Amino acid sequence: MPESTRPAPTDKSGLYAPYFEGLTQGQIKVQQCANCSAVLWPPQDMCPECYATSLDWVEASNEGTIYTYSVYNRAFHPAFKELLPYGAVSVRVSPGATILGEYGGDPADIEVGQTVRAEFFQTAPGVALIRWMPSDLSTPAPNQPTTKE
Amino acid sequence: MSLTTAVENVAITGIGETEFVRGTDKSTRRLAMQSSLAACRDAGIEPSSIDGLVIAGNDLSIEDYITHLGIDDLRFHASLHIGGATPVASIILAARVVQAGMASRVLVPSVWAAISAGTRLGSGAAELSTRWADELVPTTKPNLEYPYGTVVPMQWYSFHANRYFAQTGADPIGMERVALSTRKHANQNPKAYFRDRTLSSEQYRASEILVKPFHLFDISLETDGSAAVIVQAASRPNTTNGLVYIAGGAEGHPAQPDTMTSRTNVLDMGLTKAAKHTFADLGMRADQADFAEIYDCFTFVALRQMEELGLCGLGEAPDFAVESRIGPGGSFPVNTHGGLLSQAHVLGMNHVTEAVKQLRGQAGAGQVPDARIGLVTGYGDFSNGSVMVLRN
Ligand SMILES: [Zn+2]
Repeated sequence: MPESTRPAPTDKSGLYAPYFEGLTQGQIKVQQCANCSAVLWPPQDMCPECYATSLDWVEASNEGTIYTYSVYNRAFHPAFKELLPYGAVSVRVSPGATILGEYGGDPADIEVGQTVRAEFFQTAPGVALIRWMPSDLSTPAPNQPTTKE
Repeated sequence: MSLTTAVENVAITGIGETEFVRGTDKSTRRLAMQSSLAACRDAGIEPSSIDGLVIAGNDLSIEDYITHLGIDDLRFHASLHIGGATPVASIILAARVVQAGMASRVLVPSVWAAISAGTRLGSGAAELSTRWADELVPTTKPNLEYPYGTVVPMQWYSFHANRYFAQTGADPIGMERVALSTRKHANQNPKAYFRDRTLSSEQYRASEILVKPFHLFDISLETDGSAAVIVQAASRPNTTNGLVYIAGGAEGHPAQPDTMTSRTNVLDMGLTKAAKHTFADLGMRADQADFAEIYDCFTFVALRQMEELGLCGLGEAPDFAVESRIGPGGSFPVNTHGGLLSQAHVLGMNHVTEAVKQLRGQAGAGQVPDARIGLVTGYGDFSNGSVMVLRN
């Protein structure tokens, strides 16, 4: 089953629009309060530190360390059946956000604290997702998402 | 007025349960009404005289309950939705409503027909993520999690578990200990779905790891069933059963309760706050209870709650959860009915009804001798928590 049948993000034009637009350009963008500089992730409508509603989107690092992870031996959506075992990792990136993506190496090798670099892959026209690559497998950071996969 | 989690002079006066099965032709509504009627009968009250209703985590409406139970004069209702933390939080609310004089006979029903109504969470049903996307779910799920195949609770909680084991160095054998002890409790409970099926260490270890680190037997049952309680002032009950007082309790919530996978601290749990408030206000420690019914959607989640209740420190639950302590006849029995893992998954309302049976001395072969104080916890969604202290 092709990857394009994955569940697509439901909010590509609202609150999450800058995030998903960033992914298509090879960037991870997170919210930052324009008033107090608090980093907000996941995105929301108001800063919980100072209650400002003026929130910027800033580029986060494409490299980070694995904060936590999972390995799925069962698929709970049909698009993932032929990808098993499937590694999913939550990666801590500067300036302070935890970003979920899929793991590009062998899921058996995932370790908390491991350094990984983001690659971006297209799942549908205008939709890109993150694949976290272990440093020994990662290629120099591509600026554009690859279209195969 | 100072804040307190202590409750004065309120009791659970009636409990009701349906049969716990996998597959039934009864509707969700009929199951809920069956347990509600049983709870009224147990409390010795007419269903029509119910004047308060706290719908504990189900989608039936206030109208469903009024019309089917023939309620004459409903003076209060609420409907809570914090996943498996809901039943205990709902009973605490009901107790406060009674104490405040807003209602005198409050029904608190839970129901989940996971099999017959097609709402299983662990099935891998093809439509699961699309169906959930249409419902009222945090925007984090369809945008940040579903695109990476992250759809069901066993996946969410695995992020907590894998971080926990890496950070603390705790021994994963704790999960097996909970699974085996809980099954031994179930093996002496005629109402447990797994009453006739024993579980050995070999069977546990040979079972598939569905999602790392969870073996099949770390994951709760999914069943069809309902359970309900009646909450009344302790001075007014018309019941032949012994009184089971609600000493106090609270709900609690973690920071960032909208996500497990994208939050700053995945170990953060609402129970930490709820337990701290409750035990401080009641002037007691968790280990002063005679038994505990701890929400066990996963063996791992039960372990973490043992720590956040203060029964042991962070990373120490695997050592705490030895069978000689939490198993049948142990010094601190946990999930004496077989829990969600081996009795049934009624959103944890079956933990409440079991605790009441224990404190009435009606728990059969699983009766804890001289049980005076019992703990019940709830855990739901992305680590919402609740805890309640019951006493006789
Ligand atoms: Zn701010």
